[in-house]
Amino acid sequence: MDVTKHLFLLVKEGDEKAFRLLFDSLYPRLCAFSLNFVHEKFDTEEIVGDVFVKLWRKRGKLDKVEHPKSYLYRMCYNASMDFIKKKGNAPIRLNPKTHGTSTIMKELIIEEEVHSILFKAMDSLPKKCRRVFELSCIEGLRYKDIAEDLQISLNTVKSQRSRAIELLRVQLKDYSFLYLLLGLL
Amino acid sequence: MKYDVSELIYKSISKTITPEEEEILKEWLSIPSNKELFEKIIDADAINNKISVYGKIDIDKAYKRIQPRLSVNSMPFYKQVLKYAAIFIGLFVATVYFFQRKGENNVPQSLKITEEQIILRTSDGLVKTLEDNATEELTDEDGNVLGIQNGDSLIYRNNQSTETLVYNTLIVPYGKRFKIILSDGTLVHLNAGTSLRYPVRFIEDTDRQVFLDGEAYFDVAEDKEHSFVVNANTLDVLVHGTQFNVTAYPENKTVDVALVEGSVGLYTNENKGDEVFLQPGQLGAFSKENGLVNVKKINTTFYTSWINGELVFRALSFDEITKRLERYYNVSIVNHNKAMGKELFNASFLNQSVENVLIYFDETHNIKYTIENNQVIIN
Repeated sequence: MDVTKHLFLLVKEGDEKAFRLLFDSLYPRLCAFSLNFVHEKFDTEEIVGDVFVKLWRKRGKLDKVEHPKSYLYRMCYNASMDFIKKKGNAPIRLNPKTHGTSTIMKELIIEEEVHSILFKAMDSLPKKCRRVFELSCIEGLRYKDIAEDLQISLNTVKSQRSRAIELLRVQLKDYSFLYLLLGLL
Repeated sequence: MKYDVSELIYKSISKTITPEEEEILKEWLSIPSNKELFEKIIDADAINNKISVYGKIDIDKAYKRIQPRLSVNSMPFYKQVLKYAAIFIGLFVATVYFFQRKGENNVPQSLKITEEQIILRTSDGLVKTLEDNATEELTDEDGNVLGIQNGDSLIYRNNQSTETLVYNTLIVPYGKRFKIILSDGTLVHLNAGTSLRYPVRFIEDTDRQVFLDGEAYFDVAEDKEHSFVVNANTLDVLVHGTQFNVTAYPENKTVDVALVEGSVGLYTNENKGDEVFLQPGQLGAFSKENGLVNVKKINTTFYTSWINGELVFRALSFDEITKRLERYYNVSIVNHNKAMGKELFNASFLNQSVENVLIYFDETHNIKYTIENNQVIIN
């Protein structure tokens, strides 16, 4: 699925709507990614904001970008490193030199992708469903404990859980949701 | 896809993983470092922690912060100087690289063709990919069914009347072709590398207008009360119930209209009352440079055979042929032989691989080509 190329193409043509879609989809996860290197959340927002401004300004030169998403992660990594250098004595949270840059980058990207997909998926669930899903699929609690915790019947736990999973499964079939929200770019 | 392991891990957490996907994930997890990463990712504390980070981010506010900086494009002087310095250094590096490469033996590689998806963009900016061979209903914001995708065609319905024009844009990438039936029943074949903007439903008492970038074959449904107009770059084609082909790729010097049946008039915004009319079997070539239309007699099948997947080249320059091959196969071809680029060739191909086409040109016209970095290079 090569949608980003098209989204990038639209950005290249100066389509701010497409740019906004890209921003909405990737800004949070890039901030969280940057937080691996930079201490302050406030600073990461600044860094990632700058990266998007830079992307927009060089939109005419994105032709050669083959993997837009990796490209943006890379831009954020470089910008974070520049930021640290400028600050001079600021501690680096993860030293890429001692960790091996490409492996750690890859692992951090996978982590970020999973978590942001999960966040967006959970965000789309109805409240009750979401709580049961969290306790069961993420915390790994037993049905009995969830029922006690939430003061609901065992059957309700089971039905809410399967409803949550069914909703998420339907989402996966929706391409527009898939690539805009899950960001399969 | 590069990171689809993230998708598999997500599916594993959310229990939406299929047995086949589970197998792939298992294999990936058999590597200890992957397993370690997996454990780290699915850790409940890590997830909750991350969710609180995401939750605190106000995207709207963040976007408002950068928005004022999007419109300014000015660059400080020293940065501009640096930019040009960078270009020179880049050229230097490229030259050195080029000379070094020349010494190496070129091992022929095969071409990997990347498949791109057909894209539908709706008026509210949403973008949807159309999967090959899918059968799917197309709905608007309110859930009304607008039409249906059936394999390589998109068919709009005309079941409700509307007051306002709502536009969709269909973008066909290189390597693909597509068909669309508009709400008035007009059939449009779209060639590779083409986008068409059209109203989801046409409305009463208004011309039927569509906007074309690229190449399309129109079979216009007759409707005497509503003229059909194709806007192709700056040229407009006014139609009176008819079949014709329009070639309007941005990189071409002319917009070509080949009339098969019926009657069309060509005009621009400047000379609206002064249409140039075509007879069936004629080609009108509108020059983007001087705005003149050159009319000549043609064999229309050479201009329409692409709708059946056939590539037909008649007295066509090699440069134009390589451009068409690029679109048809979604490959990249670089021709360093300037003289040959201007030479004219005849050839036709039906259902051939790009390799076979290249071999044909190699054998019959002795073009020397190599494949490097997934590009065809002709010397």
